[in-house]
Amino acid sequence: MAAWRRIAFRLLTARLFRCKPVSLGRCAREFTSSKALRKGNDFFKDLESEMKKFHEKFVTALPGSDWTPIHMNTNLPPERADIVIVGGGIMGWAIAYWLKKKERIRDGVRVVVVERDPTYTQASTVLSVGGIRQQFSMPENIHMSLFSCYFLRNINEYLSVMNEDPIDVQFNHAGYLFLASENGAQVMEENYHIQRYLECHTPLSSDLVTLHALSQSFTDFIGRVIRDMNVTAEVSKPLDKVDIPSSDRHTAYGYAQEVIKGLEQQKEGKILCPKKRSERSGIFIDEQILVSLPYQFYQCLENEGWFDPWILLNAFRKKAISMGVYQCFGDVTGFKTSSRQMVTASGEKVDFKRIHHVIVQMPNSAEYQPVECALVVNAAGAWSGNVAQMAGIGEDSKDNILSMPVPVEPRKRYVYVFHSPEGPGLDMPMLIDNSGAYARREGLGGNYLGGQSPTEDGEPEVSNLDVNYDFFTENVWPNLANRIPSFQNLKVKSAWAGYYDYNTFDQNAILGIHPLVNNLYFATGFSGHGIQQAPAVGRAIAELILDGDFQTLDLTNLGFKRLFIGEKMLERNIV
Amino acid sequence: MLIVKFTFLVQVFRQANVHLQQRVPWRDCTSTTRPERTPRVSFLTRVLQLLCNRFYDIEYLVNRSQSLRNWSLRRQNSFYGYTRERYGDNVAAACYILSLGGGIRFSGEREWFWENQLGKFRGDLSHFREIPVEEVDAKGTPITYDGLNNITILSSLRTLDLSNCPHVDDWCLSRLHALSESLEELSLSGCKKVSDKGLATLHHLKKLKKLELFDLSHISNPGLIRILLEEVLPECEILGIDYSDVLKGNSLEEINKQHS
Repeated sequence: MAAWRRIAFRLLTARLFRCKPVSLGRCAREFTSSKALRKGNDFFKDLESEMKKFHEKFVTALPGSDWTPIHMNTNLPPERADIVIVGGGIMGWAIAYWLKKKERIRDGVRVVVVERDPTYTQASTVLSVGGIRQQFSMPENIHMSLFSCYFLRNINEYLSVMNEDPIDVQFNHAGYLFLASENGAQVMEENYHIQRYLECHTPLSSDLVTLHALSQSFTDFIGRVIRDMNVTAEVSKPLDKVDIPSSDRHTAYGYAQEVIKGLEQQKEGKILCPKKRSERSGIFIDEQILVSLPYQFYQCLENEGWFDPWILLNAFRKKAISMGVYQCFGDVTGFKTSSRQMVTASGEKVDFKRIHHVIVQMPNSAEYQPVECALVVNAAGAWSGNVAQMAGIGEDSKDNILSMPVPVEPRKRYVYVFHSPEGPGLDMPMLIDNSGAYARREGLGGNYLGGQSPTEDGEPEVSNLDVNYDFFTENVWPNLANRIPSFQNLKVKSAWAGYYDYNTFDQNAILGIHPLVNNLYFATGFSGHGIQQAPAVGRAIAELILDGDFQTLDLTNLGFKRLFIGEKMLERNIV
Repeated sequence: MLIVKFTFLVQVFRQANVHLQQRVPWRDCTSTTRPERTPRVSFLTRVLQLLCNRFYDIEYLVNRSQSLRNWSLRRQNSFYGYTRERYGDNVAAACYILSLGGGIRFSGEREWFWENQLGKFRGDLSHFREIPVEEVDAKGTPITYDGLNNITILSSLRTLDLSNCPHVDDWCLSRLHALSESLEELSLSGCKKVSDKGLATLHHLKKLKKLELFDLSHISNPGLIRILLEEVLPECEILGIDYSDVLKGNSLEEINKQHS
């Protein structure tokens, strides 16, 4: 008897069945076994929270939702999507936004944007200088820039999210100033004509400071301009299929009067001397080779300047995500395709491919998810060529259309930030020299951004984004100092490098569907002017996908057809 | 289910005072100044905001009302093309400004034209077909970028008063280059959306003699802007910004760091 009591006592004191707090050294937590003891005696609060959780789970588990009771990695993209956009730069998000804006019913299309790098360290969008101009030679490019400008002006109407701050892209309206040598003057005149005689009345956005002597050609040019000006000032063509917001006919009229005035002054021997203006702004133009076409004061016109592309990217991203676009961080490593062979009228066998799955691999892991999709949009920027190769374009050894690779490759460009204490002031535009060097003001403290596109044989290698400062001292600085004397005294503060998604064929965008891979769309190859065409391109691709054809801007000239025919749509105003 | 929803809503309302605060834009918070407490919005606005966050339909309705407001603003600022073709630029501009609630004065005349309470104005504008408009007073009007289409065609406008216009921003200022031949006085006091980039575009206005920039407290470096503008427009007198504004709230070291 006593032995049993002893055992019972020992058991009792052995702390096995008692709920006593056990202190483990420094940790002073209480280990109790019962929930009720832990939370206090609040049974009803508990019940309420449990009921809430059950209610939430019940609601999400209703048919039509994605919820499964099996725990899964939430970073993976959804298993099924309607449209997968490869590439999360400005193009990808612009297309995603416009797709969601144009869908007629809520959740009409399920869009997934796959981006490899969440920090955007190598993306061309965030490393770009962010300029926007209308001085192109192709009408399509001009229209796209005009619409993008309109978009940026009314950005809060398009991209404002409720309860968020209004968007401010930090647009500097300083204009572009292209300088041309004697050889390039002819090209520039033609470009100018194209910009003026477009079916819409584009605002006068070019200031041609052409460096050629007062010759017969000069007066002829002026005469031609006036004659044609009188014609177009009266004619107003209907704008079908072109969505241009503002009509600036009055500027053309005022401009014509100015030109006439200038010509009269020229007859009397008086010409507006450019030196005065250039003294003030510090831009040196050789006085002998006079220039100053009388419309000089239209230099820094509206709708041209530079802005912050990171803000625009984030604005697109936020708005698109608020409208229901899925964002996924992962690497597209392959496509699962199927092909079907058909025979043409002439007996040739053609392989039509169709993409069924996009294989997305998670960053830093071997886990991957095949996303079943209906359409794929290739907006991968400088690496679009690789993505196209995954779909089988360019891999075939036979001599057919499928064997032709997409001619987009990354090209490295440097941008240098320098400080010059006596540099040009507030009225400095984005100056682009005839040698290709460019410079613009940055902020109010005397800092400037500059760079130059290297020649074909001097292309830097693209494996990394290291900056070559010798390029600045050898190429950029002499050209800039030649044009602006105060730049002889400058100090380089920093520099960065970024990739152009360079179209080796004709340096213009490739937009549209591939003829042989039936559900692969391309929005790439912008060669340095992608950021200024992004909103327009997004809308165009969304129209192509949802409406079947271009509705507002007709960009069929920028499609794949020209690559196969071999007809180059050259853009002559490339920086 | 209803009971759960009700208790849920009650809890949500209880948390309303904690979570619903007017957002302070981040750029207003500098390291040296404390963010000012913005005035509390009314209870109804807070309730509406809360409901917007919870229900899709209310969010849609609020978005719709915003786009309706945009549409009506655009309608007010439409281009007076027909009037322009029939009566000329000056009459069109006059009609436009008067419809917005502004005032207009023709050159040679002493009296101003204003709209009264009933929306009518004295005098017959068709007499003034050839007489150019000299002064435009658009204080507080909802003039926008599109509306400036009507004003930039005036070739001999001397005074333009755009103070306290809520929709005038940098884009509007970049359009004013069309008036560079004749504009002598410009007032931009109290325009909340104008920033230093917009003021930089004013270098086109060669004939500008007086520039009023009162109450532009949101510009980051007013003194610096004044100095740079005076460099570019030597004949212009800039009112409303003191040179000492450069030091307002910031120490000299910070400015040197910013602009070095």
